Amino acid sequence: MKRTISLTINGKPYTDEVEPRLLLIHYLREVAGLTGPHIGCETSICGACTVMLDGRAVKSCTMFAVQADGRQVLTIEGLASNGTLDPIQEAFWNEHGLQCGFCTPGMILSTRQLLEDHPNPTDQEIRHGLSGNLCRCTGYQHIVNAVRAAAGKAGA
Amino acid sequence: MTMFSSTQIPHLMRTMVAGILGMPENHLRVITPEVGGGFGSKLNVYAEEALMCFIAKRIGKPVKWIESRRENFQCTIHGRGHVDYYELAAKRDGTMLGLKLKLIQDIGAYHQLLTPAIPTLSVLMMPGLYKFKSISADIIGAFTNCVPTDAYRGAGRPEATHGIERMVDILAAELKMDPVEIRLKNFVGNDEFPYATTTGLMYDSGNYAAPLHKALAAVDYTARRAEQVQAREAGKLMGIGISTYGEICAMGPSAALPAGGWESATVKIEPSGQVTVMTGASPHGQGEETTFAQITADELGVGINDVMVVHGDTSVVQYGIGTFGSRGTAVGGAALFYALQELKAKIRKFGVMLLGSENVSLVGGSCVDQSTGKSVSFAEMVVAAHHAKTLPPNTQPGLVATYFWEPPNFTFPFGAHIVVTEVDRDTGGIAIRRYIAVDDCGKVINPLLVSGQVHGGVAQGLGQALWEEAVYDDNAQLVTGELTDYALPRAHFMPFIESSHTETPSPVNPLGVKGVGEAGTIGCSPAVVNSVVDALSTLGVRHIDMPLTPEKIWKLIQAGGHA
Repeated sequence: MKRTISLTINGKPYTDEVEPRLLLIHYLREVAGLTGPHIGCETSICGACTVMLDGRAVKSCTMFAVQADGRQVLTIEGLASNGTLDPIQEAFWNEHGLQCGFCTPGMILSTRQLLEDHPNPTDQEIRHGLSGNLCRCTGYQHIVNAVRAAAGKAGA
Repeated sequence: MTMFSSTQIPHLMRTMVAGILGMPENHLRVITPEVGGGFGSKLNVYAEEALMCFIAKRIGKPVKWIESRRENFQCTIHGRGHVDYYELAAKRDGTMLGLKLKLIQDIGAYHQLLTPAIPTLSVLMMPGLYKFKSISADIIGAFTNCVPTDAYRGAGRPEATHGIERMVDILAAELKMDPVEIRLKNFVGNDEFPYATTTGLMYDSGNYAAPLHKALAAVDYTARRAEQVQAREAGKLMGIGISTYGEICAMGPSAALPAGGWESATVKIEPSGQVTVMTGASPHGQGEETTFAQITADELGVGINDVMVVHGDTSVVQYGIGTFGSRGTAVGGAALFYALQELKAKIRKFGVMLLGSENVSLVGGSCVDQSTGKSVSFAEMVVAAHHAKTLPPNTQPGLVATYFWEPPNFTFPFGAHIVVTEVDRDTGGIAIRRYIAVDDCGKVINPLLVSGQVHGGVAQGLGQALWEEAVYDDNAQLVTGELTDYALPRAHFMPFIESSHTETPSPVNPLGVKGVGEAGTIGCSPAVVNSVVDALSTLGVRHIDMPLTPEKIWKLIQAGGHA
């Protein structure tokens, strides 16, 4: 039986009827039409589906949409405002922290979490903070540089 | 019909799918949006791609097909899958003479687009950077009940480089020579280019000792060898591994590729002076949108933000071959360069007309009369070409040029990777202490993009050397068919890569570029394995097959070096 959920995504209210078994990632992509979060594995390994739920990074392929009822979701679409990139997005751009871009939405939201936990992270903290997000293109080095640059900007 | 496909080859996809379905090619439009990585696996036309078009046509409705990760592992292609046997002939002084090899390639259950071409490419590149008098090779393709093998980043060259670079180290150990000395002794000399290899290739240009010397200086080789002596006295297993690789890029003259090896570019200068570039080499993360804008901005003297690079739509972009084999800039960029020369010649005609002088030259976008110093701006010439109130003799209005470039040869990048490792006796774990990559990909157009390609390539080479493996059970079921079971490198597994370059321009194309997409992968795996074998050489270890998992290494140490 369908359940009604109400949640806030990127500051906007959403109310929808969903099957209880619907995964949050499928809700975001197919019901809410937000295709920024990607599906890379559906086994919670790759992190491409990472979004923020009440301010904490979660893998949205590993929870149900009904579990997000009454909560705040932030996806990659909610970062830039009026065409101005968020400092983390800008750092990824400047430091060439992405190539094909598939992992990038998840990387950026994990970075947001990482920088909240470690405002001035060491390289080791950055690498461990991103260990739940797979990237096949970059070898991670420019991503690490991007996170460091974003931290510098946030601290300044 | 419109087909959206995550592919490296939009135009070839259209030709093949239209052919399979028996429909007119110009009734099918293939759009390749942002693809999300390729690495060779999207250099195929898969059955599902034709099937979805067939179903859509049959039911008259849009059809969407998304494979799961497991299907992707099982139903696309895998890479490598070699069992190779080598014999090396050399003199006592370390001069290498000949190589005899047998390559057994796991074909998998079906031929895919390039399956048998991959081990063939291995044999072509078997000489590496060295002067061999003769090479004899047998290739055996073995059909199995496994996933088909095909092009995966490097496609044949990592296999060749791994083989030859391992053999050079084994020879050095046998002759008690330093692995650096034996390489320097056998390199093709700087004065020998173009160099005809015994396998029938013509190496374009090279300075093979340069990246090796640069890498040795970066790692401080003499100090590391001294450190290794001390480490061994303290009972530690420290290794220093070198690979000096060569690769074949810019695929490649049409004679070598069944569907042609040229590439195309169209440049359109709009009335506003903004420039649209359309490339047939549709990229998927390599950053051609940036490099091609740089080439265009440099040649036309316009701002980089005034250039828009368009690709991956067969109804918009002229026919092209695609992006693979490190060919994007080395072939597609060269086609763009020549298209830009045609446009510059045409712009110059308008400059001559507006200045009323033949003695003009294009400088930074403007046309300058060399005798009077008078000039007309890029904008003025562009407007004149479009408004066409008067035209130069025998000149059409408008500013569009298309160029299809056929490369006269491949390019041959090279480089040296040095890896310092320490092996944990108790766990078999391998720690990478230093990773030095000095790559020569000819002229570097964008250093940031090039280093990104090197880092990513090294990550894939390191994954192959240490962790990644397609494992099948006794019933030929793929047990590493999910990301839960297949060990991809993660951020905290990766060492910091100290990447730098030497620049030896290629004479094959006007940009002097050679290609860099696969270099990291090719240079990496032998350097890592050479390093770990060096670390374990005190136990009598001569060779270890990839991947060097802790379990495998631990067992080897427990057995006193005897596998």
